[in-house]
Amino acid sequence: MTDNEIQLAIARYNDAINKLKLYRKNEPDSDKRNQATQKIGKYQDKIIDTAWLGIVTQTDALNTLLTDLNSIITNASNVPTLSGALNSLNSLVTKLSTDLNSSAG
Amino acid sequence: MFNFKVNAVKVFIALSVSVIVTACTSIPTSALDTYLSNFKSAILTTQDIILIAKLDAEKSNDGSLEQQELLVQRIQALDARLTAIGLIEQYNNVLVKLASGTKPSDVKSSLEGLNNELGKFGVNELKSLGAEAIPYIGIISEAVALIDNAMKAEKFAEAVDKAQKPMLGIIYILQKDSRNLEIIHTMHLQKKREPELVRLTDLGFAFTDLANTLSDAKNKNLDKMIKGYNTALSALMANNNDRPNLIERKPNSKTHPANTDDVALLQTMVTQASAHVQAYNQIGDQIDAYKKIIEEYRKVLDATSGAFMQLNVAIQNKQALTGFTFAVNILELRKAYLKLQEAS
Repeated sequence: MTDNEIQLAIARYNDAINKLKLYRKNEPDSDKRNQATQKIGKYQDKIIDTAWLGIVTQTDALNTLLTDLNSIITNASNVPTLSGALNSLNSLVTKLSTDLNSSAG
Repeated sequence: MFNFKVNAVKVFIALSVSVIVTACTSIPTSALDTYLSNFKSAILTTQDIILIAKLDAEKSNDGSLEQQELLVQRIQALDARLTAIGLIEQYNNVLVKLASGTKPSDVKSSLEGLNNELGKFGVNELKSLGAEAIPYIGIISEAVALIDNAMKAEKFAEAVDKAQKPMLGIIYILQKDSRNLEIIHTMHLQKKREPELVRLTDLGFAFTDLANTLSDAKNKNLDKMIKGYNTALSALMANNNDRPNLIERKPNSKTHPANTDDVALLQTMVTQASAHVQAYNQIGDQIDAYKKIIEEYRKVLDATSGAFMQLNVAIQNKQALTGFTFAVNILELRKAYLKLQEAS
């Protein structure tokens, strides 16, 4: 179901509910009013289900976009910087110096 | 000493050229701040709305196999929305990290540390090289910071440019969701208030039926009761289709004068009608409150998507100025280097 079809279906169910409510408020027979109330309830459930369908059907497209964004994040997170390289070198030299001193001692 | 200076000049020229080559972008911090601030509002509202939607999803579950399968699908769909928001937050953190520049003072400390450590090896050449390098550490630190920041800015611009499609696509889906989530939640609330309307309609017919059998020959309170009922009904915050008809007394052929018990019964019905109206209106208030939240949510999503697009525009605009800015920075760096050479 496309997005437009979903919204059209919901609009149709709403029309049906409005007609039933108009009928119910003027119907003196309580049994007939009850029947109208039950039908209203079913249309309300259909509206809820249809709206959920609208959300669920978007999920695949959403997941594709999430995969794209994830790869952009991964790419942007790996920036080789000179200061980073200097820090690594510094750590390495410090470690070497410490190891040499401890082995000499 | 002479060799070190020659090498330092070479390194300096190489660094400067690489800065000019790589640096053609800078970070529009104001546009970034606007976007981040909009997103902070969006994340909290999205989480709240998704949480409400999860409760709504549970409400439709009657325990049947079909409904249980639907529930799983719906919860997964909602979780994907939460993941989307989490991922955008992660993306924003990366942008913030790229936007936070490398400080020359940090590079300087690192270089000084390196110099000290090299000196500890007990190799004379290393000690001498370290001593000769000390005056140039400041300059080299500036150059390293410039290059780092240029590289980060390039990565930032690339990250914003490439994320346009997924980011705007995700926000578009959230905007479309908001319409369906509004329908779902308001429909659940309408279902909840439906019994009030049914009882009110039934009560209206019962009231009319009783009033039509009564005459006010002995009790003048009959009209007062009808007016009271209609006043209670007029407080109902409902559209025309929901609103039960007002009471219009059409006395039938078998009327009898209303007595005290009849009037007391009518009074009870007025009180009941008033209570149903109140309960109906309370749920109506909840519907209105939710609609306002959704309305604000849409505005925040619009603002977030607008701010993100603006961020990309700001990067494009800044690119024209950046070449000049970097050239000025390099010139300043060169001046400092020449001064240092003169002094030594």
